[in-house]
Amino acid sequence: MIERPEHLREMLERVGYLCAPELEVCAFLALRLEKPLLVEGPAGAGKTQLALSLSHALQTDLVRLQCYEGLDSNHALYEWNYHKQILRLQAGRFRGTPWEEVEAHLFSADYLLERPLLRALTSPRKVVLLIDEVDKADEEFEAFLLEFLGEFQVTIPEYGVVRARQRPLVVLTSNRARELSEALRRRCLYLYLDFPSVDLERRILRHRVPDLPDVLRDHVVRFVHAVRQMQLRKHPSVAEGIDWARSLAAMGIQELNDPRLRQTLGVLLKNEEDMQAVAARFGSLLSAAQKTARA
Amino acid sequence: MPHALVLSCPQLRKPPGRNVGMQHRLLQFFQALRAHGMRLSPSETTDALRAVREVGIERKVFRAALSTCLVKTEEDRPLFSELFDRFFPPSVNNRPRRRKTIPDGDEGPDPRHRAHLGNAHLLRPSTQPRGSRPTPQRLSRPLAPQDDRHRVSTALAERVFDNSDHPEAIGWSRITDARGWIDRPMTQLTEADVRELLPQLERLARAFARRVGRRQKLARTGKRLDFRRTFRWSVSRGGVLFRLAWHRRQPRQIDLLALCDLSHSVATASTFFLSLLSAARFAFRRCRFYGFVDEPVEVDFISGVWYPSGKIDLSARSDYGRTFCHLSNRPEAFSRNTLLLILGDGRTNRRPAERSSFRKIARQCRAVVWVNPEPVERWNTGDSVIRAYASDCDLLLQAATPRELMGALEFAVRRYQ
Repeated sequence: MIERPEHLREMLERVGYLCAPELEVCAFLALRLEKPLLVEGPAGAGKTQLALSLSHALQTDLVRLQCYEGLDSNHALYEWNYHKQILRLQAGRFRGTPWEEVEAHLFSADYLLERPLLRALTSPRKVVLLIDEVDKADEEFEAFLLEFLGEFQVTIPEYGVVRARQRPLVVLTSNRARELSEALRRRCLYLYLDFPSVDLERRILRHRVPDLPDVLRDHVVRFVHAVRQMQLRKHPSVAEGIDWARSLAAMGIQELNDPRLRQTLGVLLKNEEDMQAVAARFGSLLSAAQKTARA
Repeated sequence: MPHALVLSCPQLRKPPGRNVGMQHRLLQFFQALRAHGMRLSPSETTDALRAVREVGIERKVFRAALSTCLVKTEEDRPLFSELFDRFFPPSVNNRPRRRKTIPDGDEGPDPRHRAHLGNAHLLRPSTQPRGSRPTPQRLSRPLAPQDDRHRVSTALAERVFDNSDHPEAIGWSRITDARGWIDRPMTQLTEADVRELLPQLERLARAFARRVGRRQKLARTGKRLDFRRTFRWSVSRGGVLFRLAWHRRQPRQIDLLALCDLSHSVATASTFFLSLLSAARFAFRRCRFYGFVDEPVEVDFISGVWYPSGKIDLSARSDYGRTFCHLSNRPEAFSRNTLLLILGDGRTNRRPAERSSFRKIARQCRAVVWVNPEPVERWNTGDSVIRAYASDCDLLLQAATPRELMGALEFAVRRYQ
C-alpha cells in the first residue's frame, strides 16, 4: 500500500523511470482516488513509458489498447469468435439438442474473444490499462470510453454484466493532435508531460548510459536541448536522446568536436529536412552546447 | 452552494474544527477560478478536496494535487498559477508582515472606479493600503516542525485564512464588468481592450470551434448499408450475413475564404472575426484569410495578431470596389467549394462599387456571406454602398457584439457546410 507520493517516486526510480517533478503526485492520486489519468504532451516525452514503468513498479500486468481512427467497441472490448462458432456448429452432433442448450454452449467464455478493455476488467489483480494515443480515435469511441471509465462494467447481451473486480489504473495518452472532449477531461486527472529539463535529462542519461564520460554527457544534453528549440518537423524524443548517447559511447566518441559526430545524427533525427536544418546550423549548435556548459 | 458541496462528499463530513478554514479557503479558490472563466464541474472540485485530504498541505504537493484535478488544459494553467499564488501565498515561513487589508465595514473598492475596461489588469488586486490590522495572538506562535503533518496543516490553514485578502477585494466585480464584453458593441472596444481580453477571446474561439465541429459531426447520422463490405464479410462466415457494414458519410469539405476590412472603423471586429475563424480552421478543407483596406492581402492570424504577407497601408481609405476587382483577377482563390465570408461595413469612401466584379466572384463561389458590424439603421447612409452588394450575397447578417458575431458565423458555417 503506497502511503505517500515519495514512495511512488522511489518505486519508479527503482525500475528506471526518473520522474518529472510533481508527476508522482498525479500518479499517486490516480491510484488512490481510482480515477483515470490523462497524460498529454509532445510526442516522445515519455508518456507511454510512464505507464509501462508504473506497471513494472507496481508489479502488475500492463494491458495496452492502441487507438486508431475507426477503432470501435468490437476491437476494444470484445468480439464473439464467429469462425469458431460456425466450425463448431458445422462439426455437428447437435441434432436433437434443443436450441437453448446449443446457444448456451456457443455463447460461452470459450468463444468470447477478450479484447484489452474486457481483459482489464476481468483480471483478478489490479492492472495498469494503457489507452495509448486516444486522440487518434474518433468521437464515437470517446463517448464509448466515457461510459466505460465511468462505471467500469460492461453488458454483453448474450453473456451478462461483467463488472471490474479491481478497478484498473487507467492511463490515457494523447499527443494533442485533436482536442479531447470536456466530458472525458472531467472524468480524468490531468498531467502535462513536457520534455525533461536539462538536469533531469542529465540524470536520465547517467542512469541509462553510465559509461558515457561526464563532460560529454553534459554536452550531449545541451546539444539535444538546443536542437529541440529549433523549428523541426519532429523534435528528438527522450528515447532518441538516450539512443544517441548510447551510440556515441559505442563508437568511442569522447567529445562533441569529433568529426564522426555528424554520421550519428541519424539516430537523433528521423527526417531528411530536419537533418538538413541541423546540419546547416551544426557549428552554432555545437558551440552553444559547449559554451553554456562552460559558463 | 459551497455548503452543499461539502455535505455531498462523505469524506469531508468530519466534525468541523481544524480543517474548516482550509476547506473554506479552497471553496473560495474554486469560486474565484469559476469567476475567471474556468469551468469546474462539481465532480472535479470534489476530487480536488479528496486529493488534498490524501496528500496534505505541503505547498508543492498541494499545488500539484490541485492542478491535476482542476487544470484540464494547458491554456488554463497561467490563470491557475496566478490565483493559486494569490490564495495560497508562499509566506508560511516568513514572519507575519503588515497586511494590507480592508477594515470590515467596507464592501470593497468603489465600482464606479472601474467602469472602463481598459483601466486595469483583470487580476490585479484593487485593495488600497488602508492600514493593517493588529496581528492576532495565534499567528505569533512558532510554526510546527514539518514532520508533523497535522499540526502544519492547521497552522497553515489558520494563517492562510487570516490573510484576509477577501475575495471581494480582489476586484471580483471588475470581472463581471469584464464578462460583459461579449455583449458590448465591438466598435466600443479599443485595441488596448482587445489585447487585454486576449485570453478570453481565445477561449471564445475554442468554444466556437467546438460548436462548429460538433455540428459537422451531428450531420453524419443517417446510415446507408454498404453492400460491398457486407458481402465481403459474409464470405468468411459461409455466406451468412452476420455482420452488416454501414457507409460512413463523408462530410462535404468546403474551403473557406475570409475577407475582412482592416480599416480603423472595423479593426476590432476584424480581430474577433479572424480569431474565431482561425480557431475553427479544422472544419474546412482549406482556409485562407485576406485582409484589405484598399487592396486585398493574404494575412496570417496567430495568437491575437494578424501578420500580412504583403504590404498593406492601414492609413489608406477603404476601397471595396478595387478590392473586389483584384480578387476577381485571382481565380485560383475561389472554387466551387469555397465559402466566402466577408466582414465589412461597406463604406467605400465614395469610390466605385464595382458590382460586376463582386458578382463574378459570388457566382464562382458556393456561397457569399457578408457580416456587417454596423447597426442596421446606418446601412446605406453616407458612403456605405452595402445595398449594391446585397443582392449578390447569399446571406447578409448584422453582428454588433462578439456574441452576435459568433452566432452569425456559426449560422453561416452550418448552413453551407
